[in-house]
Amino acid sequence: MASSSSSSWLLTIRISNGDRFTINVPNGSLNKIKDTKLIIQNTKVELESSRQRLVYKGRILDDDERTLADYGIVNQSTLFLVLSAVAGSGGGGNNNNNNAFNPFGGMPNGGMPGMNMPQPGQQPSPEQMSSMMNSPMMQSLLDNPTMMRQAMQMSIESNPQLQEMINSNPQLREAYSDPAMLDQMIQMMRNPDLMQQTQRNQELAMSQLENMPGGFNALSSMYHNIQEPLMEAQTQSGGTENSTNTSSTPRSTNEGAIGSAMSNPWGSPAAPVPSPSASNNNANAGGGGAGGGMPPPNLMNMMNQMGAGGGAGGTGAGGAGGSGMPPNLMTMMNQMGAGGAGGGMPGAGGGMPGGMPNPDQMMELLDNPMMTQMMSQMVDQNPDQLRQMLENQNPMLRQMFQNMPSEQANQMIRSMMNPQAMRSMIQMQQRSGMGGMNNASSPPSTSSSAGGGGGGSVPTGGGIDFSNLLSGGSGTGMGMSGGSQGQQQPPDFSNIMQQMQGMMGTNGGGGQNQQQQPDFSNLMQQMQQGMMGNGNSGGGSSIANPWLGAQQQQQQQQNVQHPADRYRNQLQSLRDMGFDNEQQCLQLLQQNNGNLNRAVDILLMGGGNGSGNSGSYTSPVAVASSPPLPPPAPSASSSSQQQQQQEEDNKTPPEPKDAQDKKDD
Amino acid sequence: MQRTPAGETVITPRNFRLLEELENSEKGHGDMSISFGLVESGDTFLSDWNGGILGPAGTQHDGRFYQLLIHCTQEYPAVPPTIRFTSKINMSCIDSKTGVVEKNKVPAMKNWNRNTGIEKVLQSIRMEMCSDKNRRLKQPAEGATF
Repeated sequence: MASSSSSSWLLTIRISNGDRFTINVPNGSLNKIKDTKLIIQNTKVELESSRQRLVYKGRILDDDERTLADYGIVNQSTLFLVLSAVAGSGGGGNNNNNNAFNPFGGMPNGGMPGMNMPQPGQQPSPEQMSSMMNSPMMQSLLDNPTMMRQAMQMSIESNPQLQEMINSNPQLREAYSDPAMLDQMIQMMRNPDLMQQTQRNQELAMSQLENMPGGFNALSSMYHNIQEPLMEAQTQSGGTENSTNTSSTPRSTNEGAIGSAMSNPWGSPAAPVPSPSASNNNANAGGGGAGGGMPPPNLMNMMNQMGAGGGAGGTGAGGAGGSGMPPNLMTMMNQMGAGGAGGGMPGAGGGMPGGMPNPDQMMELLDNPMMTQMMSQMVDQNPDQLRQMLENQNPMLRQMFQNMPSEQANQMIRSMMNPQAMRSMIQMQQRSGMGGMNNASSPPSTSSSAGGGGGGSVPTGGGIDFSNLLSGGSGTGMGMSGGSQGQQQPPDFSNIMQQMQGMMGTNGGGGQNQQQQPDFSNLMQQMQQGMMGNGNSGGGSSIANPWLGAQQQQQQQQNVQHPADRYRNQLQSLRDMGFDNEQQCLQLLQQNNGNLNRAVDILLMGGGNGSGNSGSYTSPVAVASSPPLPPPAPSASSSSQQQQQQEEDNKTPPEPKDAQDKKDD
Repeated sequence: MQRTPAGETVITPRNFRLLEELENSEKGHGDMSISFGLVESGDTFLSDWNGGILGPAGTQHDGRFYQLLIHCTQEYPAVPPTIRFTSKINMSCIDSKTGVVEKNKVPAMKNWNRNTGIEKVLQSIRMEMCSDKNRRLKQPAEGATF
């Protein structure tokens, strides 16, 4: 022991998520537990030493002052590390938030603000609701109690306010974790009749309660103690995340819903018994609190989080308060299913104006294996349903799908749902600098682009940018949608297209950007052009491709006018390499279409000594095609020289003839 | 009890068996939510063990770490070990005064066979924490002991 106590030890630490790592403990057995914990913290910053509970052979190493040897630990032992939420191990009961065991630990939490209630009139009918709930996908989801529970747990954990609430109201926690309650709720959602009945019962119970002496007070205190903070917790989690969100309406809608639902009966003691219609509204919210029926909104909320990492925040609660669950469920479905995980097809703005989830969250979400699995399952099992959902939410898409054989449409959906595709789309979106959150700027372009798409109706909020992007991404799809592009190109759109050109072609040159394209076909042309290569590529391609002819020539003229601009980078590089003769360099660059390497080769081969006689350096191509070509007259001005050269390049076929002529001379 | 390829059954002697379990637990193999090891590393009879169970998420036990003592008699593994919780816990299969686990209420101990092992028993107890009758039972303050 004596020898090992002075040497350093290697200890393996296993964390509860299965990860393991080794730490190097100096002084071996003499190291105190608290020092070991600090070493662990230094190795993995997220493992705060105060939260660490080390376990060795079934014993908690709880005395920080004792040494490793005191606990019988030897070199190369494996320690288990369990994190507690509260510093120290004496934490208060329920409060332990065990992050380590949360399988969804990586999921974004907190409410996504924009996820708003569906607008009135968009709420699904009970029939729709039940058909949705009875769909195999949904059922398999709901039939998995563990998952539901975990998701519930997650929603609690991710919301500190909610946590606090629950801790101060143990009954609530029970309600949250009662599987029977969940089952009942789901049953209820599946069966419209049952749901109505439940609603009626609650209503009845409410009015009875109110008629009891003291019942009113109980109710109102319940409201203040439970309902209010709960709502607040949820609404806030919805609101904070997206303070920039311009859609303040949704929140006020929620509050309105709460207000009208809740404050009425006890807000005005003069009318203790609310009118039937008012009590109908109240039934759910108030009764929810009373009957422990609170879970529904939260369930929804949780589902939201699960689905799209964006809790519907206040929506869940507000919606339930106002009009029962359907809207929330709808929201959830939006996000989970059609929402294509929200970000996928945020254009599916239907139920959630402005509901573009934060791209980062989306990405994270997409990396979640559960989500991936769920999506692929969904896509495989019922593409039709998915399609329907997408169509319902995005008129533009509907149009598109209508013009496609169903197999193709399904294929497309499938590819759209491909996590990788989604990820790259999101990245593209981010890059194009119009974050989904930016609702404020999109509305003006909205109408035009939607009109262009032929959908007619106006998609809302964050969806627009994306649908543009999508149609841009699959250009043909856009074409299919009727080609009835509006007169003005929505600015966003052309931007994207330009960006795409930039990506695909090598020529990011100024020429194209200067003209605003009047219609879509032109735009497509440009895109193609971009793909074909840069505008200045040798004459061959410009002649061979009838598409490009006119435009490219135009562009060439522009290029000729600004050759120095065009090759500024290359020129700079050449200058850095020590080739000072700008004109010579420029000419070589032009001859080689900006190929720096070729230009350097030629400069080196030809012994670029900086003489003014740039004509003596001909490109290999020119040499091959017209060996007898004499050097141009030294007197020619550089610009005309360039032009000449250019023309010669472009008219390869007639060149021999020219050469012939010159020979004759 | 293991079978050779020829079909004979081989009865692993107690100590071999326990040494195997010891090695597995100390190397940190297996389930992360439970942990056990010898109380005295010099215990040549491999009789007394410490054990720990991490409370499953979604229950009242969430985030708690329960400690217990495991005693393997000389008859082990023919008979299950006796287990006594040192951390106070409220569970249907555990004597509320002594913390002793009632063998006939834990599936892995009730249906004990030679291959079950300590790890399986602890896992079984942990599963019990998730059961409907146990998951919502009020628990004493963390850190209390029997």
